[in-house]
Amino acid sequence: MNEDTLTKEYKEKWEQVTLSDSSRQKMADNLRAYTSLHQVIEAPQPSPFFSYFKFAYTSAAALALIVLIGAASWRSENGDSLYALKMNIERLLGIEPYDSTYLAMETNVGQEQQESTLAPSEETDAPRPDNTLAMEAPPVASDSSLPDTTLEADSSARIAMTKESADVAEDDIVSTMMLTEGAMDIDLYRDDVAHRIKEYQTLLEEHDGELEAEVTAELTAKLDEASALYKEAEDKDEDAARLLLDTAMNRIGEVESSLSLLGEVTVEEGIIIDINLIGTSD
Amino acid sequence: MKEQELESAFMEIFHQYNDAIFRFCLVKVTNPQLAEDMTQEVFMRYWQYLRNGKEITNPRPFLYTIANNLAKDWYKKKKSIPLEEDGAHDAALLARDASPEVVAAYKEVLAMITDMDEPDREVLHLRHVEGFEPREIADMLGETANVISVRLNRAMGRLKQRMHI
Repeated sequence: MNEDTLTKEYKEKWEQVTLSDSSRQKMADNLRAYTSLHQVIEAPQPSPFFSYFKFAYTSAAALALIVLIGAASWRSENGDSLYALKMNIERLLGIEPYDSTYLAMETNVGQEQQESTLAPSEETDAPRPDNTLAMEAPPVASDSSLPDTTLEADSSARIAMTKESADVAEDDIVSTMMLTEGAMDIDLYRDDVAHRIKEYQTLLEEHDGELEAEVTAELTAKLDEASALYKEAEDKDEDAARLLLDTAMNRIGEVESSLSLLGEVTVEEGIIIDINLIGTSD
Repeated sequence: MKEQELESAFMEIFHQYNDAIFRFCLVKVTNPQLAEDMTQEVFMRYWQYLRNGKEITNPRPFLYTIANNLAKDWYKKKKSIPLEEDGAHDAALLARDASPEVVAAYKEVLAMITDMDEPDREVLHLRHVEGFEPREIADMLGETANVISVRLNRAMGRLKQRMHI
């Protein structure tokens, strides 16, 4: 046998050595699965599910806005249920509680509700039971983030809900402010803003050195901004002043949120009066 | 190249070369089951190269180079594997659904290659079964063409001796 014959025989024998059909098919299936998986990992494309989710989310947001506009436009015809719905949608969408339109709307609604829900009778002048509107309203009262007083929608009750009278849970600072400021007289509103600025400036001074300098500087800057807005509002008419005070209260709200994150806060009449910083023993 | 086109081209390469790569892996490790796994790994790595946007003009030697590198890794690990777990001569593993004739050929070839040193069977296989030129084999194995030619001559001489030629 010469070399050519040898190698030919060697080659022929070897060429019979192949993968079995089942092994080849299994390997092909594995590789197809691998390439598909690889494509998903390396180059993620929006899946149909994602597109559907995006569409659903956008649609839901659009629907919520339509309902919100509708509730604002037709609340006087349709009464309290739409108003309550509007409030909840606003809360869900994170609309600023100190938007002046919101405040004006809330004040007006209080008056409208007083007019529309008090049935003309011999008892019109008599004190209304506290739960009159609560019984008429949709089941928003079950929302634990809303104080029960939310549904006390008559204007006298709302105006009475100043920081002195609001009896709320300590962790409902923002909700408290929504209620108290919503119907607050402009002078009371000015006082409240000034009071909060002073309280929080004092609080920051008391904890100077305990807070990180960067945090203190950031919160102080926000309070300074609120203070400047408050001063600017002093010689403005009511509408202009309310706008400025709204912005000031937004800054104050940011300070309150930051303080709440820094430790355990003690709240009195809707204002943070003390803070036990995380990591300190006091 | 689009993803689907890339995958399609890849599967075409797989169908064209899977047996050849399997044989080469078998030459290297002499264990049919392991050679199957190694073959699959070769194509997986080839796919990763394609996915990384690297252009491979001639996939055939490239696939052998990957297989050779995988075999080197296997040899490093093999040092710690007990011999009884090696299962190198179990041709039945390979031939589960093969005819008796094919099983006989497997056994004969496996006996032949396991009797040879790995460098010998490697160059013999690449030159005389797969038909690569010494220069191509040298590129795949990281040697010079001259070294491969010398190794081929010596391997052929030892094969003749084994076959009593």
